[in-house]
Amino acid sequence: MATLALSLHFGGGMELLFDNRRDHEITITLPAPADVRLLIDWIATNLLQERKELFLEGPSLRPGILVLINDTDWELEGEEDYQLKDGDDIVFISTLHGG
Amino acid sequence: MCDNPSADGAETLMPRRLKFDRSKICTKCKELPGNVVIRHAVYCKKCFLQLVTIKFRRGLESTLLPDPSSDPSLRNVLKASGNLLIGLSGGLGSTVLLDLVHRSYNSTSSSSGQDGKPRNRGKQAPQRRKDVWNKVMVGYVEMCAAYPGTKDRTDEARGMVEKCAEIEFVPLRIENVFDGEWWKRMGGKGLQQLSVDLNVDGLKVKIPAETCGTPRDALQSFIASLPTPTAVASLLRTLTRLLLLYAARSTGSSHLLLGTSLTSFSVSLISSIAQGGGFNVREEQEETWKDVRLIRPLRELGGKECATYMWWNELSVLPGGITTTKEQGIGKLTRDFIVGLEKNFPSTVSTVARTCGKLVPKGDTDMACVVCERPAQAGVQEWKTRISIWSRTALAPDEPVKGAKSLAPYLCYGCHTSLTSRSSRGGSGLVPSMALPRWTGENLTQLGRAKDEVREGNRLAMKREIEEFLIDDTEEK
Repeated sequence: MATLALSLHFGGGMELLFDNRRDHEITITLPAPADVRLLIDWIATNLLQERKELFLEGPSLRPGILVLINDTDWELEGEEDYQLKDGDDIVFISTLHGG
Repeated sequence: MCDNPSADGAETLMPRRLKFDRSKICTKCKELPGNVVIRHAVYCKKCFLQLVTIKFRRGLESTLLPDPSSDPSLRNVLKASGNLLIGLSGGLGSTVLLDLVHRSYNSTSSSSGQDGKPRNRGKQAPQRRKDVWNKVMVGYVEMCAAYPGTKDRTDEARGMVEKCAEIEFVPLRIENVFDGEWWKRMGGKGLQQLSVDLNVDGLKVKIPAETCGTPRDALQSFIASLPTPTAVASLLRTLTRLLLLYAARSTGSSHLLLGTSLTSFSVSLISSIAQGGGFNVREEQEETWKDVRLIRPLRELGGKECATYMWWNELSVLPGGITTTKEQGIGKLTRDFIVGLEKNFPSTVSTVARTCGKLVPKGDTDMACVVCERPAQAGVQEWKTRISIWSRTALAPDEPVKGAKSLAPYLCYGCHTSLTSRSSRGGSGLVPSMALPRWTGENLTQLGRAKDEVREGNRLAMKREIEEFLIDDTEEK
């Protein structure tokens, strides 16, 4: 098990799904290896307030949500396989909020 | 000998291409580690922000350069013939668009970056982009009347615009399109509210005996009488576009900018074609309406690029959009498809836009649809009657319904389909008589007048041809 302190941010209108709060400081304990896949599942269970379908598609993150890990696109970091580290800063931004 | 891939019973998947090419170093500066992947290319933060600005300007400035043959000294001088109106929905694209216009063309901000330090753009660049438009305005269309229960966000939108110095806020409401006072301000003449009976073949136009109530009531009856959720989404889009275009004309704007990203652009192209708007595929890309040029300068930037730009520049969308937009039907299905495609095959979305850019509709027309005011193909009704049974009684093409004017011959294929297609689930067409947007009445009157003139012209031409065979009345006497 790994205990991690993480900063989570939600933008592009997604904050509405999370109690209208943009920034969340969390400390969580996840089974090792603690990857982003487990974090997404934890967020959906513990932080998400409404309309799960706007955050998840099946067990994965819904297409159209951009993820930045420490200010870097998660596609450069291995996406859901990225191993979380203590103090990581993770941003979820919706691209689905119209034109 | 080749192996049989299905022999072991496992599903054979096509190997997925890596999300980025070569290394994690920025492909542009080749020095800094990359921060974002855009269609397989890696960029650092600095190069990415520059790239967004370049793509935005490229999309817009080609329309601002004067014709060099008219005056060679004006070469490379950016000057518009009127003001600028930016369409703001408060969503991702329009938020990014407003910021880009403010940074690139606003006279006070053009000389410095977000950190307050001067930008290295060359000696002439800031001057060249100064005073391109006399006045820059933002038109915000409040949609809460179309979605009962949602909050009016005009004040939030005003606050968003007030952060940008020297940009004026123009509040608009979607129900304005049914408002006689608004129509008068737009220079409209026909002040009578028309409605159409959707249950009568040929779509009979009438002047309602009772008024439709307030413009808000008229909008709600308009939405309630539309037969499908697809038609609701499509016609609300049409009303918004025309409301902004009329606002642009009334404010002396030569350009109307919309924040349609590459992703939204591909969605609107596919969705429009699927709804019968193939003839207007050129107008979906760029159109000139009564001397106003409608431009989508973000159409080379995908949703991901817009979202990344927004986050790194600390911008915020208007709250409420993600849960209030209850879009349904073909538009939503197309969006889900394109966004899903973009996740795994990001280059394919730009291919959609490029391919649609090569499409040219067959034939030309001088007729415009009275509802969407886009070119309408001639003979649509005739063709539709020939290939399908869509009414119990056969209606001859272009034949008005007895005792009343029919709307059908004056509609484009897309609008006609939206108004007449019935949902397999019964549809929502609760109110058979639907109020029409104010411009429809005036367009019908003008078309009727033009038809009368043509008829009169034909009569005179016929008379000239047979003149020598006619017996003079005086001679007979």
